[in-house]
Amino acid sequence: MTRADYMSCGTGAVANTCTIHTIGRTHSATERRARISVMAMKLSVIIPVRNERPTIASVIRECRVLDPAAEVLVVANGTTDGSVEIARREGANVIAYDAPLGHDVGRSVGARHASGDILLFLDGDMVIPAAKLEPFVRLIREGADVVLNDYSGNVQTKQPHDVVVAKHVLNSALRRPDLRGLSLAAVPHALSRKAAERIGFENLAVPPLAHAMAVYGGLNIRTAPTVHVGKLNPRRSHRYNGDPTGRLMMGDHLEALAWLLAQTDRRGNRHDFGRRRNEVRSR
Amino acid sequence: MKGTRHADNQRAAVVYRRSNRKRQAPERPANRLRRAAAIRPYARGRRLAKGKGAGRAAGRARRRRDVRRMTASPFGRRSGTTHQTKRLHHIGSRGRHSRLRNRAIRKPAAHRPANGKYRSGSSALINGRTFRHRLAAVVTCRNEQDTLPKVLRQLERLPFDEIIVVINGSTDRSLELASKFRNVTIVWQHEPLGHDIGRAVGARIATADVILFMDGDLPVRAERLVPFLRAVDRGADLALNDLSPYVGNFAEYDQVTQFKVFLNRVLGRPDLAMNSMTAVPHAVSRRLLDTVGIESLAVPPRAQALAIMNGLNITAPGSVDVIRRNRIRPYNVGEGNPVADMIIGDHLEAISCVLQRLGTRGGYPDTARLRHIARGEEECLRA
Repeated sequence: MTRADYMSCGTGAVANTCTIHTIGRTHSATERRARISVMAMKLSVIIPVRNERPTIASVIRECRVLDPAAEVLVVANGTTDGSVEIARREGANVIAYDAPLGHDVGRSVGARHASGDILLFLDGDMVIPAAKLEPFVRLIREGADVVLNDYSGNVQTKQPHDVVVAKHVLNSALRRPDLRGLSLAAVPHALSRKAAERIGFENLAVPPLAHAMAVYGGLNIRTAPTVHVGKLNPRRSHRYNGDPTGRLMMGDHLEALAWLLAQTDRRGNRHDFGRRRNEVRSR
Repeated sequence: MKGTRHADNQRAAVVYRRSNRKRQAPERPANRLRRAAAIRPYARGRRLAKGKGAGRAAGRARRRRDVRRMTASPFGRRSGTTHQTKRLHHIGSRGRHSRLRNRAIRKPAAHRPANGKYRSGSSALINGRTFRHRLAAVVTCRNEQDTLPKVLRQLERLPFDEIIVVINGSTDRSLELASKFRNVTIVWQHEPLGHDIGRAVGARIATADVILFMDGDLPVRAERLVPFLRAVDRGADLALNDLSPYVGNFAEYDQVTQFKVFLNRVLGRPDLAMNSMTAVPHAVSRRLLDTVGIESLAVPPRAQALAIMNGLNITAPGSVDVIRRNRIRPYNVGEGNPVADMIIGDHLEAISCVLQRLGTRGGYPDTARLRHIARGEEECLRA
């Protein structure tokens, strides 16, 4: 896909929704139509689940609080603890796989099956109050293509986690250092349907790659107030098992960088500051 | 008035002491004499008269010590750890990477080359300290007439077989000042070569086994350079400048530092933190040049990535603060300045090199991700 393709996606939505906040005044017919269409934007919540029996019911209930009309899609994979039954009892649409699909593949599957115009991505093991999810949905309604959680991980340390470093580096490589460690790899985040289609559903399974595509494509990226997912995430002692998730995420970020370097040149379109390399070329 | 009062006070103190302790107050020696006394603290009368330290052997040891103190050698004493390395060790032991540093200082004996590797006339003897390999320094310089002589003066204090100054694009007196030094090889290039190219040009000329890279704008005391030379002399292939004592939490890192950390971590060397061949001073072995190719020095992060991937021995034995002391120029200040942009490009180039060699995911696993399902190739069982 060319850069132009990505660029074309970012605009549109912003232009026709900039009047949303002036509700109550008389608008032109066009504006009214735009407003109605925005308010009618349907919300789909996508929740990949493995064995999340203790939390899944509350997660779904918070989604109902957020928007009673929301479509809640639970992508259960490799579940053995009855999470599927609980989700069904709570009235969610359940897509079930016997085998685990691997990290974040559930997001791709959920996005493909979602019918909404706003896609909100959550995790089954993390109960986030509806009040904190509301800004994600609202910002998409206001015209954003991507809404990220304003969460960079623990940076107040000399030894940050590999993934924290990788997220910062990816944003720098994308010339968006202002995004710091924000990433589509962190939940919650929301995408407009247009953005998800532009990124490609299959790429949502590798979140840093999706992030790179969204940023490089010039999508309209906004941030919602921080949800401290680091605290909500159950502590996994990666010190003893070699941190497989960290290694996976490191690979994901390298994959994203590889994609970026394929779109640009091997220096990410950065200049050489007048280096005369032929002076030292091997003879 | 003031002076008089001061003198009165002093006299009063002397009187007080004299009457109470029944001891003669020492005369305040002139500044020059006091300094002399500091150099030879044992030359004063009473302590030599009897008791410990009065014997002939002790006197001999004392004189030897004094001689060592007075000859300002960058190598310190003859025992394993010099005063200098002890200090560095102290700085290092505060950081979490201290183990790496300690190892670099204490353990390089294992990598010492066999005795057969001695070359006649190549070992330099200063105060009894020998380097086993021939040493070279490469100094790159562009319009640095104020600092270049200081750099060279410090290098002269070390037993280099070659000092190579690569002067490029200079319009000031750098050349004239450099040519005043004896035993300095000058490479003159009228046009600027660009960042880091000078290092490769200098390295191509050098014939020594240990090559130290310096910048003409950053004088570093010879004592501070010894750890780098010594590490490579004893078997390391790359001795980097350890910058971790000078940076704070990750939140305060600039983009370039983040990239440096990332590159080392991707290659499985988190212990190297943000230490990089981008920063001077650093020393390399001949083996490194042969392995990564001299031309790759032109893009330092790429050379470093190649060195790590080839399993070369990399340490960070010394710390020189190049962050605060770097000369401020119009193009290297602020986030996203042209130099930072170039260094980020260097790191991306290094990452491309890594990905080319180790695959799109740099050898990291994909932990059983069923990608065909992500692509929607297999319809699922809707429950």
